[in-house]
Amino acid sequence: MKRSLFSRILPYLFIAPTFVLMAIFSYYAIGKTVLDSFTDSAFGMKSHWLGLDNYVRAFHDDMFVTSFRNQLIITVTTVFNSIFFPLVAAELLFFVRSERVGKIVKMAFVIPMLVPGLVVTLMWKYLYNPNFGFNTLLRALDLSGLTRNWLNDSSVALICVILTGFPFISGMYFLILHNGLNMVSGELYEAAIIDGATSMQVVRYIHVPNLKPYVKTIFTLSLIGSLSGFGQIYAMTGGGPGYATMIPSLLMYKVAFGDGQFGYASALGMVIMLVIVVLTVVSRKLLKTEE
Amino acid sequence: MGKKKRITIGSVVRTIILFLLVFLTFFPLLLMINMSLKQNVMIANDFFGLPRTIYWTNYMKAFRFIFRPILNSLLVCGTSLVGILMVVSLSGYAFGRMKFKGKKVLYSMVLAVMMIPYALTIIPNYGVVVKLGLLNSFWALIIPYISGQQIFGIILAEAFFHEMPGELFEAARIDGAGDLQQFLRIGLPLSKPILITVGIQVVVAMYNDYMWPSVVITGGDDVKTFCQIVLNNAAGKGSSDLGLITAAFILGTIPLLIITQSCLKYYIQGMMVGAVKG
Amino acid sequence: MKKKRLLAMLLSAVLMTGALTGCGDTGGQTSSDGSSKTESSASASEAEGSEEDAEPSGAEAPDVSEATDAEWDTSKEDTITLCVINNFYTAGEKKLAEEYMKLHPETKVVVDVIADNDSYMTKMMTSMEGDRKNAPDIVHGNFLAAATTGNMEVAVSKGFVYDMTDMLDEENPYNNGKVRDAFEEKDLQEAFDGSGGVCLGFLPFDRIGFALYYNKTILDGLSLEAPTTWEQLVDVCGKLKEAGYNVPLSAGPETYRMIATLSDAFYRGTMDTAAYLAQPGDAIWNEETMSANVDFAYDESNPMCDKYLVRSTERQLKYKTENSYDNETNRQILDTFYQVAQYFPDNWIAADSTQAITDFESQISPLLYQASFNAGLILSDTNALPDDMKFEWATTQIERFENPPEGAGEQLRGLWALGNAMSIVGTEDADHLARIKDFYKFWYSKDGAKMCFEETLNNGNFVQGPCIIKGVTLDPELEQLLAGFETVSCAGFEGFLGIGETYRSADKPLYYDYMNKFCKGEITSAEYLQGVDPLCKNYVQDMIETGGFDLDPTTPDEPKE
Repeated sequence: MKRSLFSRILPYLFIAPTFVLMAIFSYYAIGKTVLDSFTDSAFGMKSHWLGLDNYVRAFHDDMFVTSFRNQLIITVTTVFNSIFFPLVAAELLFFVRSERVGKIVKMAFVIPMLVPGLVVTLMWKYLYNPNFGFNTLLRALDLSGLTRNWLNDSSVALICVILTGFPFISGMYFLILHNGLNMVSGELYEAAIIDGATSMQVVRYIHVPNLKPYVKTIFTLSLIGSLSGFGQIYAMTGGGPGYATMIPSLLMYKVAFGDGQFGYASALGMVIMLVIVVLTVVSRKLLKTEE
Repeated sequence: MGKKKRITIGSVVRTIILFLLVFLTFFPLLLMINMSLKQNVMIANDFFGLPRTIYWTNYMKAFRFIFRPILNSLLVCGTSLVGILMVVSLSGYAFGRMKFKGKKVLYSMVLAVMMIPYALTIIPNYGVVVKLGLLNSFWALIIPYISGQQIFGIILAEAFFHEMPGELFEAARIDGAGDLQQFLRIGLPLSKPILITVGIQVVVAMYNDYMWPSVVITGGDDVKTFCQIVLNNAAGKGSSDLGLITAAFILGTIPLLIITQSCLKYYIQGMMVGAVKG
Repeated sequence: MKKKRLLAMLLSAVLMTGALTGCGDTGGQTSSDGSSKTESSASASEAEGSEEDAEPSGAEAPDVSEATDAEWDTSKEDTITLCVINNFYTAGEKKLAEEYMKLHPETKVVVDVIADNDSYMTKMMTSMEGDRKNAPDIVHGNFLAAATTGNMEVAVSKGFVYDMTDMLDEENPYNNGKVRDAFEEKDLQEAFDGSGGVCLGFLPFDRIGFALYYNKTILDGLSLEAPTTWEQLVDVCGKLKEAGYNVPLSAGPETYRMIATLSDAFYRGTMDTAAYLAQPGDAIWNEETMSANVDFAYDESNPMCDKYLVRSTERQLKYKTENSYDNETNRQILDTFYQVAQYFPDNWIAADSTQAITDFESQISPLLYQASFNAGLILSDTNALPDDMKFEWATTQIERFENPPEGAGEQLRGLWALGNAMSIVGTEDADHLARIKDFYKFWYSKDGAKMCFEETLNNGNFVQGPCIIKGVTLDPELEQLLAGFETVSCAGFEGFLGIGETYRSADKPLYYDYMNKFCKGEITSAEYLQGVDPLCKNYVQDMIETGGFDLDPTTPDEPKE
């Protein structure tokens, strides 16, 4: 069946609005960044071509390089948390018999998502406060020896940051998985029940294989989100104490808006972006081969 | 469904864990409510304790300065949402189900945009907004939001549309329906659950955004958005009135809650349709 | 189901058209493409948000109102924007805007509030890029100076900040006299010095002071006297620690002022004045304003003797380039500081300043070294505490050494410095500039300043300190409280130790790390200084480059383009 002209250009029409918007607000920005990364563009001054100087400087910048180590730890844990906990919650919810209870539980998981991340971060910051919060609980349980100045102690600061937001369920990853579970064909499920399958078996043989595409999506999204976002760390510790919780994108922000060094910041941004691209491509390939 | 009701140890354990998770998830929210009813100094001095006297002043003060900004935020988010959903469903469907040359390349171009560190886009986008003459108007918020938030929606929608069983469309195709018809009659209606998921996420993200509005909205308090106003009035050098902030955020979350409530009901309906058809 | 979506769309469309036509400044004017990076635009730039072209008018509006010859065209409308950080008199400024608009309906005054310092910096960076057509009109000048690497004079010469030197002699219609008559001469001199000694980037408004807050209830309970000397302070801290207070003295980022006080005691009498004071023969030398510099030598018996000195940025940069930060005097200063710093909380240098205050209010820390801008807050907070948590508190000053270390003077001078530096952003549009200046004069007049202060207080916010403008007095209780902060101000020598705003933002985390390790006793003062030396030198380099200094004080310098 020959496809008409209309049906051949239709897809392009469909994606046209997306690309027009992206061209104005994203591609222009990235283009400017690429250009700036080769200059010494700074606030209030004319920019001059520098070639690769900024990049050389980035690789010699100790703090920038070590911040990737922190980033690695944070990203690995974040991605794991984004998949594991929502999955557990979605599964548990799936097996709830009563429909009403199920609705309430779902509401309970979704409502906290509406609260701005910043406020949750502030809340946890207060919980980590050395004078009240967790320490108060520890003292009440007679475990004063375990109390610390959590966010200001370089040995535990990073762990504290990672644990913020426990149990990591509230959010759309949960909704996606929940969605996915319900999409699984009802017939398959019925057959399994008739065969006397236990819940665990249902999970292993029916749910997990069918959730793969959703898990893959969540993986990609949380990976990219973790690598490029810095709002939470910025609000909690600002990269401190010292630079124990510093991540590359936060450093870049400081260089751009703290020092006004747009050229150098752009180079840092390009390096970060490169890392993100490489990691994303590699991880997606790995996930594909598993199938 | 005619299953045997068995109360096994397994199901008891499951239930306990589930409720534990629910409690932990809800805990920060409970804390927030507690804090909003106390005076700031009491929060520091007696963090976990219940308020000794309920301090309504936080809510009264918050209500006064929040009212107009909430309306502003709702307007911006609502308009952006409409735009986002339109773009997301079109592009998601195209990438998920349609065949065309260069699909892979174009899709990775979309993905690539997500990898641009946000901080680097602020200045160029500010420049664009100024050149378009939109500074200090709500369009300066709406259009960049549509552009930015759509990416994530497209990724989700693509996965969703891709996973839809082909049989759903077979019938229509046999009847001679073209791509456009298939999209409008089948794809779109069935995509409600995912669109609602996307919708909730992007509205929350836009509603709670602080950085971009501070840069492009240069007017006085009456044109600011919700998040801006709260942080402006309660945070700041040397005095973070946490009681006021939490009260303000709770008040501000109420509209979101109402909207989400009604959407979720809708969402369940949509899913039932999907399940039955499957 | 399609109906609901349709309805939603219609609803938004209706809301949209209704609301968008009403609010927001959808000017609809396409700005002309003047996006070159050079700051001075040749033609008159369009005033921000104006509905018509605001051209510099030659003829003056007829003199009918009390506000004498208006230098702008009163028949045309214009908008001026004041961009401020929250809690810096924002409530007062909004009131001022309201009142001013009643007097001058042709000028709209908008107050754009930003929540915190970092967002403010971001806003400055974005809105000041390019030709600044949409930049705010009155901003915190110190941020603009920081954006141009700490050089207020560079900010002025590039046109970011308007030089107010000439404005001082203009008439202030709201104050019955000249603009300069609202101030004491010494305050103006200080503002002048704060702008590099060559220009006036801002007018003084208030003062900030530091003091040691102490919890009288706890100290009395342990039979301890409030300390007034350094040695007493060390002693009290030690005793408090023994009594079980883990963090006897609560500190926040501002507590670096303590090091400033100490460095002042060590350097004021010993440092070669040629290293930091402008000298006759220098390119910036001005006989009128700098005469106090000639043959200056610090007199220990007169703590005000250095009030009128003018510093030379170039000379200081030269000194910093040629000398290492690791020297005997610096080590001594730091070691003295350590005597008290060991009692500070962890990571005080990068903590929230509110943390320190809550520590004090919850009685975890009986001592607090903080600024006057929190006095009002602490006052109202402690008054609101329930009876079983109330405690008595007061402030004291650490005034001197009982036994000054070798090389140090006896007196410890605190901080009594100018706060709130609001600058006018430079613009080529004379009409627009005239309006901005008029509003500024309205604000910096006796009645305007008083209105600002009172409204701020009524709103439950706190003022930074007493008002500098002549004739403004506040509520007696507050005046008394603030009087406790008045002290002699130290001169700024802490920069020679790498303390304060002397780092690139990217280097600051490293500096914080060194400081934390030092205060915990993990590294020595020498190791600290050797560690921060390269970081400080980085920043010095940046300042030299941006300012175009050639490190020869006798030759004039051009800031880098």
